[in-house]
Amino acid sequence: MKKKVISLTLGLIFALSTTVWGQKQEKNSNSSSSISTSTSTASASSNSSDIENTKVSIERAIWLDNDSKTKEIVIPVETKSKKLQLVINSAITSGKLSIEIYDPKGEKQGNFSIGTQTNLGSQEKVRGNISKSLKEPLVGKWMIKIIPSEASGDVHIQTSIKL
Amino acid sequence: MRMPLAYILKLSLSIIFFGTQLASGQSKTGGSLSGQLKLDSSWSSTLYLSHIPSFDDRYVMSNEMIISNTNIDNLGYFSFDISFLPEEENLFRLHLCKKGDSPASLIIGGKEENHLFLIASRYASIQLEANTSLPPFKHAKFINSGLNTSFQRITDLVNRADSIISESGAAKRKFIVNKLQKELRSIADSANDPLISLYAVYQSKYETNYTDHIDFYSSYIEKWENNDSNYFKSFKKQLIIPSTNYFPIIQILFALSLIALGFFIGRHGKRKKKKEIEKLSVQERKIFELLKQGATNQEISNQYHIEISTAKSHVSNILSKLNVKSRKDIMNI
Repeated sequence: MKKKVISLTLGLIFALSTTVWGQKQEKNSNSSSSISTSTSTASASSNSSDIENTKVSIERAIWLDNDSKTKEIVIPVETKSKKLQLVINSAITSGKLSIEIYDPKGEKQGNFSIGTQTNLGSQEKVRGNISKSLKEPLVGKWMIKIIPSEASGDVHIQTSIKL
Repeated sequence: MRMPLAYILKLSLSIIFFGTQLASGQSKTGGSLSGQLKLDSSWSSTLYLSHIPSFDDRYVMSNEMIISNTNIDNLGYFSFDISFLPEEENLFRLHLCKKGDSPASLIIGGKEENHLFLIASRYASIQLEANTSLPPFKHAKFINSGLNTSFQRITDLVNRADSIISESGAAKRKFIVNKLQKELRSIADSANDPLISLYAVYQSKYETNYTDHIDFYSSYIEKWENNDSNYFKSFKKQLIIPSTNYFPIIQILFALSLIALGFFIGRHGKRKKKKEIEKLSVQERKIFELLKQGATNQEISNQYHIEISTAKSHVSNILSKLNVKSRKDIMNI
Protein backbone atom coordinates (compact mmCIF):
# COMPACT_ATOMS: atom_id res chain seq x y z
CA MET A 1 0.00 0.00 0.00
CA LYS A 2 2.78 2.34 1.02
CA LYS A 3 4.60 1.64 -2.24
CA LYS A 4 1.47 2.47 -4.23
CA VAL A 5 1.03 5.79 -2.42
CA ILE A 6 4.67 6.70 -2.98
CA SER A 7 4.57 5.83 -6.69
CA LEU A 8 1.31 7.78 -7.13
CA THR A 9 2.85 10.81 -5.43
CA LEU A 10 5.96 10.57 -7.60
CA GLY A 11 3.77 10.31 -10.68
CA LEU A 12 1.87 13.47 -9.74
CA ILE A 13 5.09 15.36 -9.08
CA PHE A 14 6.39 14.27 -12.49
CA ALA A 15 3.20 15.41 -14.25
CA LEU A 16 3.36 18.78 -12.51
CA SER A 17 6.99 19.26 -13.49
CA THR A 18 6.30 18.59 -17.17
CA THR A 19 3.47 21.13 -17.31
CA VAL A 20 5.73 23.89 -16.06
CA TRP A 21 8.62 22.69 -18.27
CA GLY A 22 8.21 25.73 -20.57
CA GLN A 23 9.09 28.09 -17.76
CA LYS A 24 12.08 30.42 -18.35
CA GLN A 25 13.32 33.18 -16.07
CA GLU A 26 15.56 36.14 -17.17
CA LYS A 27 17.03 38.57 -14.71
CA ASN A 28 18.97 41.70 -15.49
CA SER A 29 19.77 44.80 -13.43
CA ASN A 30 16.52 46.65 -14.28
CA SER A 31 13.79 44.15 -15.05
CA SER A 32 12.96 40.52 -14.97
CA SER A 33 10.30 38.47 -16.64
CA SER A 34 8.99 35.01 -16.25
CA ILE A 35 6.86 33.11 -18.69
CA SER A 36 4.80 30.12 -17.83
CA THR A 37 2.87 28.10 -20.32
CA SER A 38 0.09 25.72 -19.68
CA THR A 39 -2.00 23.93 -22.21
CA SER A 40 -5.31 22.37 -21.44
CA THR A 41 -7.12 20.03 -23.74
CA ALA A 42 -10.68 18.89 -23.39
CA SER A 43 -12.73 16.64 -25.56
CA ALA A 44 -16.44 15.97 -25.79
CA SER A 45 -18.38 13.56 -27.90
CA SER A 46 -21.72 14.05 -29.56
CA ASN A 47 -23.98 11.54 -31.31
CA SER A 48 -22.29 11.92 -34.66
CA SER A 49 -18.65 12.85 -34.01
CA ASP A 50 -16.02 13.69 -31.43
CA ILE A 51 -15.43 17.43 -30.83
CA GLU A 52 -12.10 18.59 -29.49
CA ASN A 53 -11.50 22.08 -28.10
CA THR A 54 -8.02 23.24 -27.37
CA LYS A 55 -7.19 26.34 -25.43
CA VAL A 56 -3.66 27.65 -25.03
CA SER A 57 -3.18 29.94 -22.07
CA ILE A 58 0.00 31.84 -21.46
CA GLU A 59 0.85 33.96 -18.47
CA ARG A 60 3.74 36.37 -18.41
CA ALA A 61 4.96 38.50 -15.54
CA ILE A 62 7.35 41.40 -15.97
CA TRP A 63 8.89 43.15 -13.00
CA LEU A 64 10.09 46.70 -13.31
CA ASP A 65 12.70 48.30 -11.10
CA ASN A 66 13.16 52.00 -11.92
CA ASP A 67 12.95 50.90 -15.54
CA SER A 68 12.75 53.12 -18.62
CA LYS A 69 13.34 50.55 -21.33
CA THR A 70 10.47 49.82 -23.73
CA LYS A 71 9.64 46.17 -24.03
CA GLU A 72 7.70 44.47 -26.79
CA ILE A 73 5.90 41.24 -26.07
CA VAL A 74 4.88 39.36 -29.18
CA ILE A 75 1.80 37.18 -29.07
CA PRO A 76 1.88 34.98 -32.17
CA VAL A 77 -1.47 33.87 -33.51
CA GLU A 78 -0.33 31.31 -35.98
CA THR A 79 -3.39 29.42 -37.12
CA LYS A 80 -7.00 30.43 -37.65
CA SER A 81 -7.89 30.67 -33.98
CA LYS A 82 -11.45 30.85 -32.78
CA LYS A 83 -10.90 33.36 -30.02
CA LEU A 84 -8.19 35.49 -28.50
CA GLN A 85 -8.47 36.81 -24.97
CA LEU A 86 -6.02 39.26 -23.59
CA VAL A 87 -5.87 40.58 -20.04
CA ILE A 88 -3.13 42.93 -18.91
CA ASN A 89 -2.83 43.86 -15.25
CA SER A 90 -0.28 46.36 -14.07
CA ALA A 91 0.58 48.18 -10.89
CA ILE A 92 3.33 50.69 -10.21
CA THR A 93 4.61 52.39 -7.09
CA SER A 94 6.76 54.97 -8.87
CA GLY A 95 7.27 56.48 -12.30
CA LYS A 96 4.95 56.13 -15.27
CA LEU A 97 3.87 53.22 -17.39
CA SER A 98 2.04 53.01 -20.71
CA ILE A 99 0.68 49.83 -22.24
CA GLU A 100 -0.33 49.59 -25.91
CA ILE A 101 -1.83 46.67 -27.80
CA TYR A 102 -1.26 46.34 -31.56
CA ASP A 103 -2.78 43.89 -33.99
CA PRO A 104 -0.68 42.24 -36.77
CA LYS A 105 -1.56 45.16 -39.07
CA GLY A 106 0.02 47.59 -36.63
CA GLU A 107 -3.29 49.17 -35.61
CA LYS A 108 -3.67 50.08 -31.98
CA GLN A 109 -6.37 48.00 -30.33
CA GLY A 110 -6.18 49.41 -26.84
CA ASN A 111 -4.00 51.38 -24.48
CA PHE A 112 -3.75 52.99 -21.08
CA SER A 113 -1.24 54.93 -19.02
CA ILE A 114 -0.71 55.11 -15.28
CA GLY A 115 1.52 57.43 -13.32
CA THR A 116 2.51 58.27 -9.77
CA GLN A 117 3.10 61.59 -8.10
CA THR A 118 6.77 62.17 -7.43
CA ASN A 119 6.37 63.42 -3.88
CA LEU A 120 4.54 60.48 -2.32
CA GLY A 121 7.37 57.97 -2.47
CA SER A 122 6.56 54.29 -2.19
CA GLN A 123 3.24 54.94 -0.41
CA GLU A 124 1.47 55.41 -3.69
CA LYS A 125 0.23 52.65 -5.94
CA VAL A 126 -1.51 53.08 -9.28
CA ARG A 127 -3.16 50.23 -11.10
CA GLY A 128 -4.22 49.77 -14.71
CA ASN A 129 -6.01 46.86 -16.31
CA ILE A 130 -7.26 46.18 -19.80
CA SER A 131 -9.22 43.23 -21.19
CA LYS A 132 -9.74 42.45 -24.84
CA SER A 133 -11.66 39.56 -26.34
CA LEU A 134 -11.83 38.90 -30.07
CA LYS A 135 -13.39 36.16 -32.17
CA GLU A 136 -11.31 34.96 -35.15
CA PRO A 137 -8.39 37.29 -34.42
CA LEU A 138 -6.10 38.35 -37.22
CA VAL A 139 -3.40 35.77 -37.87
CA GLY A 140 0.08 37.10 -37.26
CA LYS A 141 2.06 38.80 -34.54
CA TRP A 142 0.04 40.72 -31.98
CA MET A 143 2.18 43.03 -29.93
CA ILE A 144 2.03 44.43 -26.46
CA LYS A 145 4.26 47.44 -25.92
CA ILE A 146 5.29 48.14 -22.37
CA ILE A 147 6.65 51.68 -22.09
CA PRO A 148 7.95 52.46 -18.60
CA SER A 149 9.44 55.76 -17.50
CA GLU A 150 11.49 55.27 -14.33
CA ALA A 151 8.79 52.84 -13.32
CA SER A 152 8.84 50.30 -10.51
CA GLY A 153 6.09 47.73 -10.38
CA ASP A 154 4.85 44.78 -12.32
CA VAL A 155 2.92 43.83 -15.44
CA HIS A 156 1.01 40.58 -15.79
CA ILE A 157 -0.13 39.49 -19.22
CA GLN A 158 -2.61 36.67 -19.66
CA THR A 159 -3.30 35.49 -23.17
CA SER A 160 -5.69 32.76 -24.04
CA ILE A 161 -6.11 31.40 -27.56
CA LYS A 162 -8.95 29.03 -28.34
CA LEU A 163 -8.10 26.86 -31.35
CA MET B 1 -60.55 91.67 -6.16
CA ARG B 2 -59.00 92.51 -9.49
CA MET B 3 -55.24 91.99 -9.71
CA PRO B 4 -53.37 94.66 -11.56
CA LEU B 5 -52.33 93.54 -15.07
CA ALA B 6 -48.70 94.54 -14.53
CA TYR B 7 -48.50 92.38 -11.42
CA ILE B 8 -49.93 89.35 -13.27
CA LEU B 9 -47.48 89.90 -16.12
CA LYS B 10 -44.52 90.07 -13.73
CA LEU B 11 -45.59 86.92 -11.92
CA SER B 12 -46.03 85.03 -15.19
CA LEU B 13 -42.61 86.10 -16.44
CA SER B 14 -40.97 85.01 -13.16
CA ILE B 15 -42.65 81.60 -13.34
CA ILE B 16 -41.54 81.16 -16.96
CA PHE B 17 -37.98 82.22 -16.07
CA PHE B 18 -37.55 79.87 -13.12
CA GLY B 19 -39.28 77.13 -15.01
CA THR B 20 -36.76 77.31 -17.85
CA GLN B 21 -33.91 77.35 -15.39
CA LEU B 22 -35.11 74.13 -13.81
CA ALA B 23 -35.83 72.50 -17.14
CA SER B 24 -32.33 73.13 -18.47
CA GLY B 25 -30.81 71.79 -15.26
CA GLN B 26 -28.76 74.93 -14.91
CA SER B 27 -28.75 76.71 -11.61
CA LYS B 28 -26.42 79.57 -10.97
CA THR B 29 -26.45 78.71 -7.28
CA GLY B 30 -23.97 75.78 -7.71
CA GLY B 31 -23.96 72.47 -9.50
CA SER B 32 -24.42 68.93 -8.34
CA LEU B 33 -23.59 65.48 -9.57
CA SER B 34 -25.60 62.74 -7.93
CA GLY B 35 -27.23 59.45 -8.62
CA GLN B 36 -27.54 55.81 -7.77
CA LEU B 37 -25.36 52.82 -8.60
CA LYS B 38 -25.94 49.13 -8.10
CA LEU B 39 -22.80 47.58 -6.62
CA ASP B 40 -21.92 44.16 -5.32
CA SER B 41 -19.79 43.69 -2.21
CA SER B 42 -16.52 43.49 -4.16
CA TRP B 43 -16.50 47.26 -4.75
CA SER B 44 -15.41 49.83 -2.22
CA SER B 45 -18.00 52.42 -1.21
CA THR B 46 -16.05 55.41 -2.49
CA LEU B 47 -16.69 57.03 -5.85
CA TYR B 48 -13.96 59.19 -7.40
CA LEU B 49 -14.19 62.10 -9.79
CA SER B 50 -11.21 62.86 -12.05
CA HIS B 51 -10.64 65.76 -14.43
CA ILE B 52 -9.62 64.71 -17.95
CA PRO B 53 -7.72 67.61 -19.56
CA SER B 54 -7.87 66.27 -23.13
CA PHE B 55 -9.49 63.38 -24.95
CA ASP B 56 -6.03 61.84 -25.35
CA ASP B 57 -5.94 61.45 -21.56
CA ARG B 58 -9.13 59.39 -21.25
CA TYR B 59 -7.15 56.26 -20.43
CA VAL B 60 -4.58 57.90 -18.22
CA MET B 61 -4.82 57.33 -14.49
CA SER B 62 -2.95 58.95 -11.63
CA ASN B 63 -3.79 60.26 -8.18
CA GLU B 64 -3.19 63.80 -9.43
CA MET B 65 -6.18 63.53 -11.76
CA ILE B 66 -8.59 62.72 -8.92
CA ILE B 67 -10.22 65.98 -7.82
CA SER B 68 -12.95 64.74 -5.53
CA ASN B 69 -14.45 61.66 -3.91
CA THR B 70 -17.69 60.84 -2.18
CA ASN B 71 -19.24 58.05 -0.20
CA ILE B 72 -21.80 55.66 -1.72
CA ASP B 73 -24.43 54.71 0.82
CA ASN B 74 -25.94 51.23 1.33
CA LEU B 75 -28.61 51.88 -1.26
CA GLY B 76 -26.05 53.02 -3.83
CA TYR B 77 -26.82 56.74 -3.61
CA PHE B 78 -24.00 59.26 -4.00
CA SER B 79 -23.66 63.02 -4.39
CA PHE B 80 -20.80 65.35 -5.35
CA ASP B 81 -20.67 69.07 -4.79
CA ILE B 82 -19.25 70.37 -8.06
CA SER B 83 -19.41 74.10 -7.33
CA PHE B 84 -15.60 74.26 -7.54
CA LEU B 85 -15.50 73.03 -11.16
CA PRO B 86 -14.71 75.45 -14.00
CA GLU B 87 -17.59 77.38 -15.53
CA GLU B 88 -16.86 76.00 -18.99
CA GLU B 89 -17.73 72.42 -19.85
CA ASN B 90 -14.95 69.95 -19.29
CA LEU B 91 -14.54 66.20 -19.53
CA PHE B 92 -14.56 64.21 -16.29
CA ARG B 93 -14.40 60.58 -15.28
CA LEU B 94 -16.15 58.76 -12.46
CA HIS B 95 -14.54 55.60 -11.22
CA LEU B 96 -14.82 52.95 -8.54
CA CYS B 97 -12.22 50.70 -6.99
CA LYS B 98 -12.30 47.12 -5.95
CA LYS B 99 -11.94 46.58 -2.20
CA GLY B 100 -8.27 46.52 -1.33
CA ASP B 101 -7.22 48.37 -4.49
CA SER B 102 -5.61 51.78 -4.41
CA PRO B 103 -7.83 54.75 -5.39
CA ALA B 104 -5.92 55.29 -8.63
CA SER B 105 -7.14 52.23 -10.42
CA LEU B 106 -8.38 52.02 -14.02
CA ILE B 107 -9.98 48.92 -15.49
CA ILE B 108 -10.80 48.94 -19.20
CA GLY B 109 -13.05 46.35 -20.73
CA GLY B 110 -14.49 43.21 -19.24
CA LYS B 111 -17.10 42.76 -16.52
CA GLU B 112 -15.13 44.85 -14.06
CA GLU B 113 -14.76 47.97 -16.14
CA ASN B 114 -14.84 50.60 -13.43
CA HIS B 115 -15.30 54.01 -15.02
CA LEU B 116 -17.63 56.36 -16.88
CA PHE B 117 -16.99 59.61 -18.74
CA LEU B 118 -19.21 62.68 -18.53
CA ILE B 119 -19.29 66.38 -19.29
CA ALA B 120 -19.76 68.76 -16.38
CA SER B 121 -19.31 72.34 -15.35
CA ARG B 122 -19.76 74.42 -12.22
CA TYR B 123 -23.48 75.04 -12.64
CA ALA B 124 -24.48 71.69 -14.13
CA SER B 125 -27.07 69.59 -12.39
CA ILE B 126 -26.43 65.97 -13.32
CA GLN B 127 -28.23 62.87 -12.19
CA LEU B 128 -27.01 59.40 -13.02
CA GLU B 129 -28.62 56.01 -12.70
CA ALA B 130 -26.92 52.71 -13.33
CA ASN B 131 -28.96 49.55 -12.86
CA THR B 132 -26.46 46.80 -13.55
CA SER B 133 -23.68 45.66 -11.28
CA LEU B 134 -21.42 43.98 -13.84
CA PRO B 135 -19.89 46.28 -14.88
CA PRO B 136 -21.21 49.01 -12.58
CA PHE B 137 -21.59 51.75 -15.21
CA LYS B 138 -22.97 49.67 -18.03
CA HIS B 139 -26.26 51.04 -19.41
CA ALA B 140 -25.86 54.15 -17.22
CA LYS B 141 -28.53 56.79 -17.82
CA PHE B 142 -28.31 60.49 -17.30
CA ILE B 143 -31.45 62.18 -16.11
CA ASN B 144 -32.12 65.89 -16.63
CA SER B 145 -28.91 66.35 -18.54
CA GLY B 146 -29.49 66.48 -22.28
CA LEU B 147 -25.81 67.02 -22.90
CA ASN B 148 -24.72 63.88 -21.07
CA THR B 149 -27.57 61.87 -22.54
CA SER B 150 -26.15 62.64 -26.01
CA PHE B 151 -22.67 61.93 -24.71
CA GLN B 152 -23.76 58.57 -23.30
CA ARG B 153 -25.51 57.67 -26.57
CA ILE B 154 -22.13 57.82 -28.30
CA THR B 155 -20.61 55.58 -25.60
CA ASP B 156 -23.49 53.11 -25.88
CA LEU B 157 -23.22 53.06 -29.68
CA VAL B 158 -19.52 52.23 -29.49
CA ASN B 159 -20.03 49.61 -26.74
CA ARG B 160 -22.76 47.88 -28.76
CA ALA B 161 -20.58 47.83 -31.85
CA ASP B 162 -17.60 46.54 -29.83
CA SER B 163 -19.59 43.64 -28.45
CA ILE B 164 -20.75 42.70 -31.98
CA ILE B 165 -17.21 43.10 -33.31
CA SER B 166 -15.74 40.85 -30.62
CA GLU B 167 -18.16 38.09 -31.63
CA SER B 168 -17.84 38.55 -35.40
CA GLY B 169 -15.45 37.05 -37.87
CA ALA B 170 -12.76 39.12 -39.55
CA ALA B 171 -14.75 39.94 -42.72
CA LYS B 172 -17.90 41.08 -40.90
CA ARG B 173 -15.79 43.03 -38.41
CA LYS B 174 -14.44 45.25 -41.17
CA PHE B 175 -17.93 46.23 -42.34
CA ILE B 176 -19.12 46.94 -38.80
CA VAL B 177 -16.07 49.09 -38.06
CA ASN B 178 -16.51 51.11 -41.27
CA LYS B 179 -20.21 51.63 -40.59
CA LEU B 180 -19.54 52.70 -36.99
CA GLN B 181 -16.85 55.17 -38.01
CA LYS B 182 -19.13 56.68 -40.65
CA GLU B 183 -21.94 57.07 -38.13
CA LEU B 184 -19.64 58.70 -35.59
CA ARG B 185 -18.33 61.15 -38.18
CA SER B 186 -21.91 62.04 -38.97
CA ILE B 187 -22.63 62.67 -35.26
CA ALA B 188 -19.46 64.76 -35.01
CA ASP B 189 -20.54 66.82 -38.00
CA SER B 190 -24.05 67.50 -36.77
CA ALA B 191 -23.40 68.02 -33.03
CA ASN B 192 -23.63 71.60 -31.84
CA ASP B 193 -21.77 71.06 -28.60
CA PRO B 194 -17.99 71.01 -29.21
CA LEU B 195 -17.19 68.34 -26.64
CA ILE B 196 -19.90 66.01 -27.89
CA SER B 197 -18.66 66.54 -31.44
CA LEU B 198 -15.04 65.92 -30.52
CA TYR B 199 -15.92 62.87 -28.44
CA ALA B 200 -17.58 61.33 -31.51
CA VAL B 201 -14.43 62.01 -33.54
CA TYR B 202 -12.21 60.34 -30.93
CA GLN B 203 -14.51 57.35 -30.65
CA SER B 204 -14.33 56.93 -34.44
CA LYS B 205 -10.58 56.24 -34.01
CA TYR B 206 -9.79 59.07 -36.41
CA GLU B 207 -6.06 58.34 -36.15
CA THR B 208 -6.56 55.11 -38.15
CA ASN B 209 -8.54 56.65 -40.97
CA TYR B 210 -8.16 60.43 -41.21
CA THR B 211 -5.94 60.20 -44.32
CA ASP B 212 -8.89 58.53 -46.09
CA HIS B 213 -11.20 61.40 -45.12
CA ILE B 214 -8.98 64.47 -45.45
CA ASP B 215 -11.83 66.64 -46.75
CA PHE B 216 -14.01 65.83 -43.77
CA TYR B 217 -11.30 66.61 -41.24
CA SER B 218 -10.19 69.75 -43.04
CA SER B 219 -13.70 71.17 -42.92
CA TYR B 220 -14.11 69.89 -39.35
CA ILE B 221 -11.06 71.82 -38.21
CA GLU B 222 -12.34 74.89 -40.06
CA LYS B 223 -15.74 74.58 -38.38
CA TRP B 224 -14.19 74.64 -34.91
CA GLU B 225 -11.22 76.92 -35.64
CA ASN B 226 -12.43 79.49 -33.12
CA ASN B 227 -12.57 76.93 -30.34
CA ASP B 228 -9.37 77.36 -28.35
CA SER B 229 -10.13 74.87 -25.58
CA ASN B 230 -7.42 72.46 -24.53
CA TYR B 231 -9.50 69.65 -26.02
CA PHE B 232 -9.37 71.07 -29.54
CA LYS B 233 -5.77 72.24 -29.23
CA SER B 234 -4.71 68.73 -28.30
CA PHE B 235 -6.75 67.24 -31.17
CA LYS B 236 -5.33 69.65 -33.76
CA LYS B 237 -1.78 68.76 -32.72
CA GLN B 238 -2.45 65.10 -33.57
CA LEU B 239 -3.89 65.88 -36.96
CA ILE B 240 -1.53 66.68 -39.80
CA ILE B 241 -3.60 67.89 -42.69
CA PRO B 242 -1.65 68.61 -45.92
CA SER B 243 -2.20 72.22 -46.83
CA THR B 244 -2.32 73.84 -50.25
CA ASN B 245 -0.36 76.92 -49.28
CA TYR B 246 2.95 77.71 -50.93
CA PHE B 247 4.94 78.30 -47.78
CA PRO B 248 6.86 75.02 -47.99
CA ILE B 249 7.91 75.81 -51.58
CA ILE B 250 9.10 79.23 -50.49
CA GLN B 251 11.07 77.59 -47.68
CA ILE B 252 12.76 75.20 -50.13
CA LEU B 253 13.60 78.03 -52.53
CA PHE B 254 15.04 80.09 -49.68
CA ALA B 255 17.19 77.17 -48.57
CA LEU B 256 18.44 76.62 -52.12
CA SER B 257 19.30 80.28 -52.48
CA LEU B 258 21.26 80.16 -49.23
CA ILE B 259 23.21 77.17 -50.53
CA ALA B 260 23.93 79.00 -53.82
CA LEU B 261 25.03 82.09 -51.91
CA GLY B 262 27.36 80.00 -49.78
CA PHE B 263 28.81 78.44 -52.93
CA PHE B 264 29.51 81.79 -54.57
CA ILE B 265 31.00 83.28 -51.41
CA GLY B 266 33.30 80.30 -51.10
CA ARG B 267 34.32 80.55 -54.74
CA HIS B 268 34.99 84.27 -54.39
CA GLY B 269 37.15 83.56 -51.36
CA LYS B 270 39.15 81.02 -53.33
CA ARG B 271 39.75 83.48 -56.19
CA LYS B 272 40.90 86.16 -53.77
CA LYS B 273 43.40 83.78 -52.22
CA LYS B 274 44.70 82.82 -55.68
CA LYS B 275 45.40 86.47 -56.50
CA GLU B 276 47.33 86.90 -53.25
CA ILE B 277 49.47 83.81 -54.01
CA GLU B 278 50.38 85.36 -57.39
CA LYS B 279 51.92 88.29 -55.49
CA LEU B 280 54.55 85.96 -53.98
CA SER B 281 58.01 85.90 -55.52
CA VAL B 282 59.35 82.78 -57.23
CA GLN B 283 61.38 81.78 -54.15
CA GLU B 284 58.44 82.55 -51.86
CA ARG B 285 56.13 80.36 -53.94
CA LYS B 286 58.54 77.44 -53.64
CA ILE B 287 58.73 77.92 -49.88
CA PHE B 288 54.92 78.32 -49.78
CA GLU B 289 54.56 74.84 -51.30
CA LEU B 290 56.81 73.42 -48.56
CA LEU B 291 54.84 75.28 -45.88
CA LYS B 292 51.63 73.73 -47.18
CA GLN B 293 53.19 70.35 -46.48
CA GLY B 294 54.04 71.45 -42.95
CA ALA B 295 57.80 71.91 -43.43
CA THR B 296 59.80 73.51 -40.60
CA ASN B 297 62.29 76.37 -41.07
CA GLN B 298 65.19 73.89 -40.82
CA GLU B 299 63.67 71.71 -43.56
CA ILE B 300 63.18 74.76 -45.79
CA SER B 301 66.78 75.84 -45.12
CA ASN B 302 68.07 72.35 -46.03
CA GLN B 303 65.92 72.07 -49.15
CA TYR B 304 66.96 75.37 -50.69
CA HIS B 305 70.44 75.66 -49.14
CA ILE B 306 69.67 78.93 -47.42
CA GLU B 307 70.34 80.20 -43.91
CA ILE B 308 67.64 79.54 -41.33
CA SER B 309 67.29 83.30 -40.77
CA THR B 310 66.63 83.71 -44.52
CA ALA B 311 64.03 80.94 -44.39
CA LYS B 312 62.37 82.66 -41.43
CA SER B 313 62.28 85.94 -43.28
CA HIS B 314 60.67 84.33 -46.33
CA VAL B 315 58.04 82.65 -44.13
CA SER B 316 57.27 85.97 -42.46
CA ASN B 317 56.82 87.66 -45.86
CA ILE B 318 54.57 84.87 -47.07
CA LEU B 319 52.37 85.13 -43.98
CA SER B 320 52.08 88.88 -44.45
CA LYS B 321 51.34 88.79 -48.19
CA LEU B 322 48.71 86.05 -47.81
CA ASN B 323 47.19 87.84 -44.84
CA VAL B 324 47.29 84.78 -42.60
CA LYS B 325 48.35 84.50 -38.99
CA SER B 326 50.13 81.17 -38.83
CA ARG B 327 51.69 78.28 -40.78
CA LYS B 328 48.56 76.26 -39.95
CA ASP B 329 46.46 78.75 -41.90
CA ILE B 330 48.74 78.24 -44.92
CA MET B 331 48.25 74.46 -44.66
CA ASN B 332 44.46 75.04 -44.83
CA ILE B 333 44.66 77.08 -48.03
